[in-house]
Amino acid sequence: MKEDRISSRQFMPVIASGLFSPMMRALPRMGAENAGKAMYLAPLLSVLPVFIYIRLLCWLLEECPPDKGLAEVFISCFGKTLGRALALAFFVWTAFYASYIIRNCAERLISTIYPQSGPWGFAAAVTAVCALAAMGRLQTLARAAGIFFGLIFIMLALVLLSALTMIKAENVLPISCLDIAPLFKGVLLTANVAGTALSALFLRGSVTLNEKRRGKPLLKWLSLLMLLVSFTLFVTIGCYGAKMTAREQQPFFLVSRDVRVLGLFDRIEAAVMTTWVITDFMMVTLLFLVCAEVLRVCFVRKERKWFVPPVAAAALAGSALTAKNAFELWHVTEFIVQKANPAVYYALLPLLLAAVKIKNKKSKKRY
Amino acid sequence: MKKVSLALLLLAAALLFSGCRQGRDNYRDIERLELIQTLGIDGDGETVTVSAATGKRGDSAVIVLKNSARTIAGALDGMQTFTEKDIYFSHVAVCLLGQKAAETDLYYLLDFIEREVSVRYGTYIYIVRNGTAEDAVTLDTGENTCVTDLLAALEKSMRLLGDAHTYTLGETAQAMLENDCALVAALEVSGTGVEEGANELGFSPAGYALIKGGRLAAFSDREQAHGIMLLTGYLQSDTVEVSDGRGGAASLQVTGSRVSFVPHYEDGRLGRAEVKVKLRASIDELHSELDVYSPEDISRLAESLQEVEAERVEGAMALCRSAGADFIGMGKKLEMRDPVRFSAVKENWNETFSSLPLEFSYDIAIERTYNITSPLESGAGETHERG
Amino acid sequence: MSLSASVEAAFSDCADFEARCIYLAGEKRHSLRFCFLDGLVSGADIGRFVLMQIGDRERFGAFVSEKAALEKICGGLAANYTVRRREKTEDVINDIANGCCALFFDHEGEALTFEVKSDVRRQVSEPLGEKVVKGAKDAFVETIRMNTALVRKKIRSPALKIEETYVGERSRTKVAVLFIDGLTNPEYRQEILRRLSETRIDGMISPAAFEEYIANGAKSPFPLYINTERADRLCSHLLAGHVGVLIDGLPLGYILPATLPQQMHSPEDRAEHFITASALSVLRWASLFITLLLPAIYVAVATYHQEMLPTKLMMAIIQSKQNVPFSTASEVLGMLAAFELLQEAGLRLPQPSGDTVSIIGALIVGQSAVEAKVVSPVVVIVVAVAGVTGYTVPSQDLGAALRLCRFALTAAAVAAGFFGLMITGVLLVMHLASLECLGTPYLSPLPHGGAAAALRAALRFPLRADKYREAELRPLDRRNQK
Repeated sequence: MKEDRISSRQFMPVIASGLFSPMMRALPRMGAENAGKAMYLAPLLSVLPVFIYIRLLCWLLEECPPDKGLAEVFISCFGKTLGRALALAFFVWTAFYASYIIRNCAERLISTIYPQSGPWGFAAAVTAVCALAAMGRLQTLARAAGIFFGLIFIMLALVLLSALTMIKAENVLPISCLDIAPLFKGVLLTANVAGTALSALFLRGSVTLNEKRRGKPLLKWLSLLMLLVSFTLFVTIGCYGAKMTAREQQPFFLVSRDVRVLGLFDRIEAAVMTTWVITDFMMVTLLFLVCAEVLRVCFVRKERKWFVPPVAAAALAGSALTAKNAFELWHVTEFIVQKANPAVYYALLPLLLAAVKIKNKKSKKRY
Repeated sequence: MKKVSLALLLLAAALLFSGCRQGRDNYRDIERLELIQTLGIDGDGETVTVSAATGKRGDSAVIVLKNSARTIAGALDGMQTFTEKDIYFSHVAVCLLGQKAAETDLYYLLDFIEREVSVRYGTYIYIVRNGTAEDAVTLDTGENTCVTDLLAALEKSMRLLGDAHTYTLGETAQAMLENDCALVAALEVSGTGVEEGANELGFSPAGYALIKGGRLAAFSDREQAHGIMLLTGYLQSDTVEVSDGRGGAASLQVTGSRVSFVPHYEDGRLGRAEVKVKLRASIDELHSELDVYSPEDISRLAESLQEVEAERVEGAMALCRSAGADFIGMGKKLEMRDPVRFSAVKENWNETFSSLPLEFSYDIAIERTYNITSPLESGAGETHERG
Repeated sequence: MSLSASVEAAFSDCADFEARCIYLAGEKRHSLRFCFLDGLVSGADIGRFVLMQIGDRERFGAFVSEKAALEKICGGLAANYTVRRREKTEDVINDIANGCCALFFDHEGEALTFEVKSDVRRQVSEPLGEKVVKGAKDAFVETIRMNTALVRKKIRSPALKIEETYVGERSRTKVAVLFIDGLTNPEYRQEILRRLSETRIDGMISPAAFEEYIANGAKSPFPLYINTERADRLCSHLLAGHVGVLIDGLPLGYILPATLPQQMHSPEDRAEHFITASALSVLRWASLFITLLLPAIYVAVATYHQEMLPTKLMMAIIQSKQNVPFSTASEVLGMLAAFELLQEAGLRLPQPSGDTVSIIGALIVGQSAVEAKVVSPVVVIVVAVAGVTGYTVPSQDLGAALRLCRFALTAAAVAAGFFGLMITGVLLVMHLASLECLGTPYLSPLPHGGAAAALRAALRFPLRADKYREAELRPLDRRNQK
């Protein structure tokens, strides 16, 4: 069977289009709540810190063989038992996060364009499609991601450009030194949300790095993503002000509901919200791949695709158990996801990778 | 192949049941919809009465529905019993609020709007002065027109004639959230039915309703409404009739206007604010012996215009201050100029606004007349020598 | 068994197989077996260029031995323009089946085959399905040699290589693989030849035999090849780095590998000014999306997301749908099916009746159905626009695949509105992204080329600016001009 590897340049659209999902879910509302009207600058300001952080993690992994994912690195470095335990801990969090995104996707559709429906059909449909994609080749997903990112970009551009006339200057200006502290909170929030992408390190073994241009694709895609998110926040907050944006569950839905595209089409929120399903699809597929890869390594198998169905089934069941209604979902977001995500990706992960680096240097051992 | 078939089967099942049993209600055939385009809400704090009207559709009659309940949502749901079609609110263009309902509580309306996904934030809102929304919605407009069309005509005329800017539900909600006050265009129902004759029929502009703390605080008169439009920057055009000071009159067309607010800080505190009104006009019609090419005569006209506009602007400002809130958004404009120093008064801005010393300055110029150098005169062959 | 006997045994019970004895130099003691398939050969050519020379004592000279005679005939005694020496029965059979006559030298265990094909075959004419205003009008015919000649006339360089092989256990169909040496990626040629050699089928008579066995067409309704009637189109693709395949008996040339953007290029793009061609290309791409999505979007909007319609349009649609007994979903699906039926009937009917059917179809489906309130006019418009835009797609096979997907997307929209449409669209994109032809992804260069790739796919740049061949074909020489 042909080896299923992709280059880092091909992998970036997968991550970028997937990251739209948590960013558009969390940043408009929480960002407006925490950072006020200056929130639209936060994603741009977070490019450099996030880029440096990711490069730091890559540096910590430098001495590990490039065809090994993070799970294999843990096992090699910490031994079979502890290594597996650590990998499975990440697996648990990743599977939980996948089920959370599925639940969120369903809830978003119900609260915006399918008010008479229950969430489980949507959750099942999204899970099935993601499972199908995750069982296929990584190359297929990477190619599809290129198309999907373009589609998301076009949809965003249409909506945001059409909404420019609705922006009021007093909603986004002035920005002064009084906004520095709230902006800092906004940057932290952005970095927190973006940290989800670090789970892709578990697929490190399937991604070929271009030695000459290591950080360039990452910086390019990160900048593009944050620019788009910034523009989205600028328009959303510019149209409705920070207070109103913070009150809404789906602020961007509001913009797409009120905008008139090309002077012809009103109320395109149905098209916009369903296009947003693509971002959830990319993120959930990525997380399914990560989970399947961890299980493959832990159970020592050749192919990861056979682990995808049980992971998908677990995620679907998890989405039902995570939150039975929108209120429970809100609690999960505020008290679990927002707190656990930074703990996992900004505390636990760098500590473990630092330990890997130290161990490599001490033993000067090659795997 | 098996894997693909299984996945497709699961997907198909999921898609078919994606609404579950209730989900079938998401599917509606288009011809089964009753499109509500005008919504009226009245209430006295205990009961809410909702009235709704469709638009004119070919030769079909306009459908008008009415229902009362404890809440707006309850009243709307109850309306369904009066028609076999599915009542559809996503095309509501205008929302009317009765005066009594506005005096009671506006926040419950906004709560409903925020939670209801079908009604757009871009829907226009009016308060019916000296009447109920039901009066407006159920007005007998005859066979050739409907309430929706009349309201559309009203919005346009108000905008072009400088009577009032029609705010949307979203703008109103945002203003109330940000500053606990809002402006809402007001209208009056003129005539009680088609028997009154075409000229008496329909709606007329009635200035602005000033909403503070979720309740109607005051209405503006027509002149104050003009002033509010000028102060809020929505004045696109206006026709002002002024006296030339010699018994004649002129009709001036306002072609451009701009109001800026300049803060003056003393010892780091906001001491006073300057309201600079800049207006440009042109002469539409002259019933006067003024020489338009004489600077003195032109400045006389400009002074007359200034008197009128000053009365409007200062009257509007006085109304807002007496109502106790910054309805015109002056605070935002002052904050733009110096956000750091303004932050000291931002918290209690409405109180500060009501007592802040203001200075008004006017820069008014008449820039042109059109096409003719001198007016037509009666008597053939006579010419009039101008000095 | 001698070579002639084994060949005659192979052709036993073939009424068109002729076998006789020929006397070398007219001498009865030196007789050789001579055979051919009547109908495939030109009798006059056999007589004039073969028999006359070898049967005439004066021309032949003295008989020395069979070996000497063989060498003499090979050396030019026979005036025929081709002569091949064969030792295997299989080769002789192939030659005879391809219009040669065979002369057997059984003592030497060899045979000589002379190509004397009959002139009775269809002449080169204009293409039926790919009509052009400007540009060459010569189309492929059923005879493979004429087709290779058409290609050779346009690319006269010896770098144009033609490798031939036989496919089909029983049909022994000749298949030619064409490529430009020094330009075409050799992996393509090798892979196609490998697939051809590994194909064990009875016969390669229909296009599907090649499309499914060789071009992996069975994987997906989306074609992974381009088929063309036009020799100039094949040649321009050869010069771009593709491989061409010609099959004896089929008036088609196949171009591999083919990607979706390449299939959207029309043969006339290079005949028009680049601005005109670009505008038409953009229109074509828009047509692709319209034909695929319009019925589904209409169903989704009319049944789930009515808020998207402008109020006046919505009221007009409601008016027009009054008293129509069918739901929107069944209207649209029914009309789509009716459109396919009409099209299918139009293909089967003879020419004189075809026009009549079109008129009846338009009257019945369009006018009468609307007046009788069986369907609403909006649905007729939607389905008609979707149908007509489907015909702007240059590839018939691609158009057929799109029509199929249109049904699936419409059904998904009926089930779940825009959500169903989006999910099915995601599956479709994933399916397209999984397709490869000879290692080249079907969607190249769109996924990873960004905006530049999208522009290149949609527009036709001036030839001077288009200096490089498409990278996804991995040609050995990327520059196409100095």
